[in-house]
Amino acid sequence: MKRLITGHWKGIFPALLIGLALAFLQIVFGLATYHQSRNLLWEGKFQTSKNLTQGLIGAAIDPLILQDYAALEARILQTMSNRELASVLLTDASGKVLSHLERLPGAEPRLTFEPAVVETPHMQDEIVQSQDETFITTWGRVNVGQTVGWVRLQAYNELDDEDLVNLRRKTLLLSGLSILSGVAILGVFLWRVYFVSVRREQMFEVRLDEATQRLVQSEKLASLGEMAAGVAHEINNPVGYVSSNLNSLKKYLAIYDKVFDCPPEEVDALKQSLKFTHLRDDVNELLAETQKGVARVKTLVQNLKDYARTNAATHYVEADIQAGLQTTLNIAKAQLKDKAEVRLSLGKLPAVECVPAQIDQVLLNLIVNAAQAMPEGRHGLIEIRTGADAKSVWIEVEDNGAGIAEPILGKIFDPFFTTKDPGVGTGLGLSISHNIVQQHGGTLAVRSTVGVGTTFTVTLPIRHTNRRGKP
Amino acid sequence: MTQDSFDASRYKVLCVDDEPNILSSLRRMLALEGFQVSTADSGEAALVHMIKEHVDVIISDMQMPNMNGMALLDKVSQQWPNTMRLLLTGTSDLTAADEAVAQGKIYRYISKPWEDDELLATLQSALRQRGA
Repeated sequence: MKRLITGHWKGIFPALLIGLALAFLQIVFGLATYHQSRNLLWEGKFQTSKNLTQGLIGAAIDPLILQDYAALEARILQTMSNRELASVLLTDASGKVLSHLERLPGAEPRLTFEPAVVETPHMQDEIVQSQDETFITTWGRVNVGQTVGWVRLQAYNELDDEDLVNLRRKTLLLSGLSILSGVAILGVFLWRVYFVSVRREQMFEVRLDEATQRLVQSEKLASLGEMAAGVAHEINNPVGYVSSNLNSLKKYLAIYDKVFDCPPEEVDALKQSLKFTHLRDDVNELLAETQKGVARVKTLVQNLKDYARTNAATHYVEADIQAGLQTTLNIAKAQLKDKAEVRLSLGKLPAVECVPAQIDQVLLNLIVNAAQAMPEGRHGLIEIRTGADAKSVWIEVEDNGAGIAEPILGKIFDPFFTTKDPGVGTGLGLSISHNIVQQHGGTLAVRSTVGVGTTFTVTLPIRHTNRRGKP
Repeated sequence: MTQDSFDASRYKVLCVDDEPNILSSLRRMLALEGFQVSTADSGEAALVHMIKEHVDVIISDMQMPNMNGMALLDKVSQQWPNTMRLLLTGTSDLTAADEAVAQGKIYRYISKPWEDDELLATLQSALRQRGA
């Protein structure tokens, strides 16, 4: 499960990056909006100055022509009631100051009567605005066909604190909400993607497990079929001679009866004619052989029971792999007999943590394959070797059969790949063996030379670590 | 020829199997019927025996190392066509045995585990067939 999650976070990482980038963009946009709003405030200030100037131009035309400024000064004073204004200046066409109203920050406006001449701007437009650090300055030209005077209006070049705070607060609030909702939507989206993909992977794994299980089951049935044929054959022989011997024994008893019922003086002659001495010797042999036959059947049944019991274990237990190998060999004996001789060279193996039934299935598969690799009519040799090191055990099944050609060698572990006749092999044996060994955390290796033989090597860890690999 | 006139002691039977207990029980059963019985524990040994001695009927197991029963009886049918050939087989797949009967390589096959009466009846009918 842990692997799953880390795997998915890896997949989600780019999405997180995109989320961060989006949040960053949102912040940049927020800042831009703030600046724009701030500029709008500036523009408002310019506009106000312009409007006031235009009003003053209109109001100044008559007084300038009539050289009467008293009424105009009342109007200028009225304009100065706007607290953002720093000063209003009125000049005649040459720039001679006619009236100047000023206000220092926080104070009341007052008239200044210093006679002075200011430099008037050279301009065609009626109104020109400019700003420096302290003021926004607006020049207005009083024009009645010719220039009769100038109005200069100066406003403090600073934004109202209250406005700015309001603006900041609103921008922050909106940007924050926007970022939060964006992150929330992205989060929901990522969460969904994560769960959908995790669930999909889990379902996929479950389906894969089921498919593997079905394959294991069908191959088990196939090897069960092979095994049943082998066991039937193994039981045939002893049952055949035991029942035949019992028939003979019945006839022997009839002869015993004849001898028993015979008049004493004729017994010797009768015994002679019936070869009674030979018969008496043979009865012991008959009984001994019959007992052997019954014992043989008993052993076979015992082996089958062992096999059934280990097959019932579907979880990891500590098992003696070599005992399993012996049982498997007993069961495969009939199939091996006319194909190959089996030579064992077994090392000392520790108990291995495994699913014994599955390992037996792998070994049975390798041994039966080795026997089937023998060319028709040749009695081959199968060598089975085992050994162990500190961490793992290995089992090697070597045959001196036909061998596997290079192009085929790469395919032998593929499901449904088979070179056997239809009905002989399912093409699943090696594929499933490979799966089983892999689930045990081991390896199944093969090397082969055409005409010389093939060697399969199963390596299994003594301690099983991958507990996810259920049978 | 009737059943009564069948004289088993005139006939030599060779049993071939790699399992000594089977040979022992076959020998016992056939000897009780009066046949002259000999045994061989492999196809090669059976061929050696036949070179040395005349055999009326050969009963061979199917599954044996090196030379199996079918191969042995095939050789016998070529070299000693007058020897009647019976196959004892324990395999469940009988197509090969059926084919061999159809081709005349063997007279008949008997499934393991065998019934003594069935085996004897087959043996007798084989010998009658040969005599006819």
